[in-house]
Amino acid sequence: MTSKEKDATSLGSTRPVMSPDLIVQIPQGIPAKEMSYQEAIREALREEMLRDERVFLMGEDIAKHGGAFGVTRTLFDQFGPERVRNTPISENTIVGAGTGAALAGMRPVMEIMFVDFSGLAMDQICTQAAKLRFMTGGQCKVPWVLRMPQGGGAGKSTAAQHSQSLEVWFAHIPGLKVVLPSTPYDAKGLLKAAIRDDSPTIFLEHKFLYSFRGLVPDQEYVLPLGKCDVKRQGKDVTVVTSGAMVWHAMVAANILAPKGISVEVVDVRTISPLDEDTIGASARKTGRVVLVAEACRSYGATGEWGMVVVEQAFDYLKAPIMRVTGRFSPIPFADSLEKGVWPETDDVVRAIQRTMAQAH
Amino acid sequence: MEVQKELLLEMYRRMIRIREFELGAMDLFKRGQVKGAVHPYIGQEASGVGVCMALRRDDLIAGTHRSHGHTLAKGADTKKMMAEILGKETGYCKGRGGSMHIAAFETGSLGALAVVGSGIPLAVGAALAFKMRGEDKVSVPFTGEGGSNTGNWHECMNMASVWNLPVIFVLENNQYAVSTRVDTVIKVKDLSLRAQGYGIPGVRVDGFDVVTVYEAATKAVARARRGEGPTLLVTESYRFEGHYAGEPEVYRTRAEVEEHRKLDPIPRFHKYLIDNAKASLDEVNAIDTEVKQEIADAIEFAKASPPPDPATAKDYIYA
Amino acid sequence: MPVEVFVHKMTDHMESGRIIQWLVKEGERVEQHQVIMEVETDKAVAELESPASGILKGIRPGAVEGARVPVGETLAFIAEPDEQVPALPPLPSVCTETAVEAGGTTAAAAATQAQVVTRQVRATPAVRRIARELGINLDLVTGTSPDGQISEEDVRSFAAARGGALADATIAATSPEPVEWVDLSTVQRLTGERMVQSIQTAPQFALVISADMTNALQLREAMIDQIAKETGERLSITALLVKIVATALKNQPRANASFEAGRVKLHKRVNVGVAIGADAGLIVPVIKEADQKSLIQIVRELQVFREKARQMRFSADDLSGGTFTVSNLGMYGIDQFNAIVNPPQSAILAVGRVIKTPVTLPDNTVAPRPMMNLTLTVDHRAMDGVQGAKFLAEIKERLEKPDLLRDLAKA
Repeated sequence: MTSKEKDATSLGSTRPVMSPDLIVQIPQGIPAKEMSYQEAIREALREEMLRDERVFLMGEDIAKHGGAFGVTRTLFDQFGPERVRNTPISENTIVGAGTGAALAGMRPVMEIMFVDFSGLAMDQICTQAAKLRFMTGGQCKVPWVLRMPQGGGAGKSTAAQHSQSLEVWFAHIPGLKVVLPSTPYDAKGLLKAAIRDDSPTIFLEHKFLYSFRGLVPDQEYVLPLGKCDVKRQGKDVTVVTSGAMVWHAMVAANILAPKGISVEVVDVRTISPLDEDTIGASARKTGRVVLVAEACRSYGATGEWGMVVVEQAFDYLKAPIMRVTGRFSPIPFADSLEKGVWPETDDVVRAIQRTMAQAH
Repeated sequence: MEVQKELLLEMYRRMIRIREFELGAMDLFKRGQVKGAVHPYIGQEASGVGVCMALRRDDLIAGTHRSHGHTLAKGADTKKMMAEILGKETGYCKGRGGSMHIAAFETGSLGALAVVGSGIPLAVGAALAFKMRGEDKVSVPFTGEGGSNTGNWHECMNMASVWNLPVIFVLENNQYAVSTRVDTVIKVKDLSLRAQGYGIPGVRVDGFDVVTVYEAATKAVARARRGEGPTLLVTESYRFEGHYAGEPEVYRTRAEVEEHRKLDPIPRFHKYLIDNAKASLDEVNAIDTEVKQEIADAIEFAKASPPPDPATAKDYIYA
Repeated sequence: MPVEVFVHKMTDHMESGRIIQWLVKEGERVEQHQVIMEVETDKAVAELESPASGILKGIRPGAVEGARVPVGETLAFIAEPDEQVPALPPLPSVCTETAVEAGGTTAAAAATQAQVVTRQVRATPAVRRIARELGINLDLVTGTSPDGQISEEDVRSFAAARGGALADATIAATSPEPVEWVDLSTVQRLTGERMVQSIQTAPQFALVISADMTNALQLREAMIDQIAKETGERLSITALLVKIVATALKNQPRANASFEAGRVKLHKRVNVGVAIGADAGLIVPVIKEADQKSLIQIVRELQVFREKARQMRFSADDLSGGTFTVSNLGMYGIDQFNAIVNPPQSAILAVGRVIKTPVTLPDNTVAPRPMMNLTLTVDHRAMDGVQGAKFLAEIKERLEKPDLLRDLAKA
């Protein structure tokens, strides 16, 4: 377990370095600042805590220390120990107490240090918080946000228990919302939305995107939950993806454009509830779909996205739906084994090319 | 501690109400009119009533699968409770929860949670909210001796103590967790000693004596309201019926159960009231009659109520 | 080392061939250059010679009579008796047709090793939708991709070739003449294709003769009980003709032949196909070695074929191997007609109804006689007019002469 933040602006592959210009989400002329994904999350927390005194933070080492990944730095100084609370190592009760506080009218934002630790809190997340509103026939609501870093990067060597992508664990539970932003702009806007949303929301942050930079508007903004974002328009093939993989898809698209292949990149953003309409419209438009996810292959999000494509766009498919995913394996430590565990830009490029080759 | 007559009569009423409600629910279950399972609180009424009578309406309790008693002790409406057990639209949870998940937020009952120990963190979190907002409300998680072995319980005892939260941890030792007897899964005999590890007071009382429980609870509540933090209150009691209604209780002898039935808190309290001239026989009998009628009415109401409309099946998934 | 057996590219544009029949069975010993298979190419029926001497092994699933196989695809191996050969995967799904000369729908499993031979249309969902929207039946479209997959272009070309008006339902609705489009069944389509091929490749002429059916009808009467007892049926004229034709074919081998690659192939066996009309179209099941069979056997076989035609449940064997065809439209009231030769056969006999006709007898009196027109259409490359005339004359003789008829009844 490391609390050091890596400053590299690559996802650990040897492919081109991701630059802020790769994903442009704000029109020219809008006053904006360049900041990192990590800073954008902090700004969202700060703004929402200023806006609503019911919002408070709970988690391990988040107070003076600023959190294992430095996300909550400076917030303790600004808001004090009551609203930025260090907890004992009690993941289940961090979430359970957060749930209780939410039932009693607060709006906690809890942090579990790594999504890999969420197993300890699954009862409170999935069996309690997700279902309380339903079981009580609407007598209560649980307006919390649970922030958890996830994901891995080739060469980062965070190994089996600190590298997983587990969005589907939560996406499978009715009552929870699950968000996975890919850019600073999305991270800030979606976290604000999640904090203001009255349902329990899992907010997954890719730990190796923390240092990625992008423009964030000066003016306050909130992005909608439950909506995909088409990061790049194209007409030949649709890539449906999320999280760090969005960056690989964007680089792949740039590599293929001069070769005459026009790639549309759909960033899912909210894993659950899924914006099926945007995915369907894109699939119908291009007729060719490549699904890219970091999480391991079997029973991952690509299965869900693939079926959505079938349901929404079967009659428009010109080629079989393809997917590029993580290897179905615990994540190894050694470089030689870790290599290839996650999709690289090349994998996405090749998958797109294969799809194009099959099309009629 | 001198307890007012009104309060004593109200305690009696609530205990009888729980008893009659549970008997009614068990009867409906045996007739196949209640689905799923019911977990009767019979024999433990003094514990729940003694604690809840020490609370205000705006204090919160969190329960377990055996929480008909707690919820009723806290003042819930028998009609809405019976309707919920029968899965009707008029139940507290609009038929969505059933026996094991009855919540009555209007009377300060956060809900029965069926995963043992899972309700405790909710109560702790509520207490955190009260403290943060500077309110003098308290929250009371109920659990059995089995629940006091869960990670939940220990994490919560720790967090509530170190953060000094207004929580009264009520541990009802009814001696059995399903079929498992307490001495086979806990080393200490006096469960109140567990509090020492967390630096908070632990109190142990006779759970068959409603006034004793009430007195101990009152002290703990006052402590919490003063901002002095949590207390562990252990009530020694016994589960007269099976873990669930209709369970073949192969793990204990008839004789053992009969021995404990002699400690039944209701006749005991009845005797106390009469012997100590706290109430007349007429007054007590009147309460018996009223409560029996109340339960009969609740059953009528529940039976006559409509089930939830399938068209609303997806309501309340999200807020 | 096993040697691969595959269909060679035999003509310029040949991409696939249709297996007409295997002439040897799995496990049989063959000699190099021995003809082991008849393959229909885009031009004619070709013989496939064995590439080596040895045992024929490992016939590929799907490589059965009627299957369309791509050029170059391994279909089997010639190997030593104890040599192992690889198990070949089923043939890639090129549009395979059923093993039917005139085209039939899927039969009950024909050969034991053969897979059920059905036509598989390969097209992506997008292409299927476009076909639906254009009102095109994908069964009719040929995929131009190497693997037979139908592309959008294929569909659009097909639609354009059929005429633009086809594509647009609204145009059809507003056209001056109300029309209804009927899609052809596979049988009908293939029959049509074969008839085009026949007309285009074989120079055909017809010879007509009338036979006096008096004696033949008497024979029928005489045999009523016997036939009915054995088969529950009447003796049909068709059955009689099959027997007579089979006998005559033995005496006129040129009528029991095929023209192939510049030569006439005389068939040793006499397999008479009988045209039967079914819902799906014209089917021609074959009575094998009809010359060896008794009249009663032939009646029985025809009975079975008629039953099968009702359910379209023919085996590939039923429909293949014919060397001559008889087509009788008399029961539909037709007096006389010219049939088209059924390739690769070289002759076909078309039969009309029995008509009471005033006939001038040898003694110059005129009397009504039951006359029946027989029209023989001939592929001039295999048989000339004189040969055809002799053949037809023999048939007439066998229909008219009492002693020949009696022999028939006994055989």
